[in-house]
Amino acid sequence: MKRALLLLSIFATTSAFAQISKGNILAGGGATFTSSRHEIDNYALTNLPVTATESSLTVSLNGGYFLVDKLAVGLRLGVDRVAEDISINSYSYENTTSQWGPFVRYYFLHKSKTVNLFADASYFSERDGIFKKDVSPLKGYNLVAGPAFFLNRAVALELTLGYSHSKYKNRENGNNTFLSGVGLQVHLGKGK
Amino acid sequence: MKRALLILFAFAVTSTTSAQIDRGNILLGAKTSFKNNNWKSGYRDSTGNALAGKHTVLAANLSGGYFLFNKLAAGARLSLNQSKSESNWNPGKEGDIKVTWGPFARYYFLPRHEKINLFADAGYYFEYETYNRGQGEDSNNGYTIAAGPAFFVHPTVALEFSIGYSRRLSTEPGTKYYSVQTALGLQVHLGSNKAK
Repeated sequence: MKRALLLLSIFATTSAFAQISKGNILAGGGATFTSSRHEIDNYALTNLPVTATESSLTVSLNGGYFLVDKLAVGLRLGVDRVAEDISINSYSYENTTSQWGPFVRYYFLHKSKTVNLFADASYFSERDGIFKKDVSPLKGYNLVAGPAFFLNRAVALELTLGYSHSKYKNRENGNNTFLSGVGLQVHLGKGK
Repeated sequence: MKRALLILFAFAVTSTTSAQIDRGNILLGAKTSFKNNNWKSGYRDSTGNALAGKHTVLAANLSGGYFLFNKLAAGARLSLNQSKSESNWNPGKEGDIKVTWGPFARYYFLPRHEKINLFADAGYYFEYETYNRGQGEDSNNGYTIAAGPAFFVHPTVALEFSIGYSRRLSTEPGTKYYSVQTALGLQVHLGSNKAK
């Protein structure tokens, strides 16, 4: 136990040239598109062949720029789309939602620290469709904070705890959400 | 414009870096989130109580691999999605869970110092899920294969684009279940040759 604490204290006091200096970039996210097909030669209820197809698109991107040392601003974008088609009765279903919003992030400790602490505040707007005008979009904000463990100069393992509040326009009550997460954050820039 | 793109592409293809695909290095992917949403509606029952409840969602996607040889990694992937909900109008927790896990192997075709490499990835998966709010359950297994380019934007970070195919093997006679997937994402490489 003592040895583990000693290792932790060495790690916490070790310095690295973390990429949180002015002019560097935060990058993250990904995109996947999946199209699945389910074929049944002889469906028991109809004694006919049945085909079901499902496609899903998930996009989650974030990018930020350090305006000054330790302070970054950026944008997060997300799209989720699900579509289904079943050959029985020509059933089809489609739902698309999109989310976007700005964020600001601040690191509290010196930029050379291997373990740093950050706080992140963001605003988001979520709507049906992507470019469609939504009369009652969901709007809200997230506040999260936690430690960032720089595994090297470009990658940080982040633990977060936070709070989110959101509310549909024209509706009285909102949602209050507790958030926690673990993830890898990529830092790129001139200090490669 | 064409000329600029050609120059950029030629530079990217011929640039080299000490990519982390050597024996002993690690592939790492981690993303987990937990949300506990307490909500309250404007709807009220006959006694005047507002409809309220909570909804929790746990999502975890973890992957880890180890380069057994230069350019060849083997590892495991785990994905967990669990949701639960309850409300004062419908007491008792309801929810579903889906867990997918399995081994994978990945091979990079070009020399390890290339800034743009090509990889192929093959995995086997086991899956367990409940549906209809826990009323039903299902277990499956199958395989996935994928391939694509990896652009090393840093010695320890690659931007990957892949096209893949997945086939479920545990289907009943006379049925087929398969899917095609394209993906774009960042892959983290760590190990003994950390970038300085």
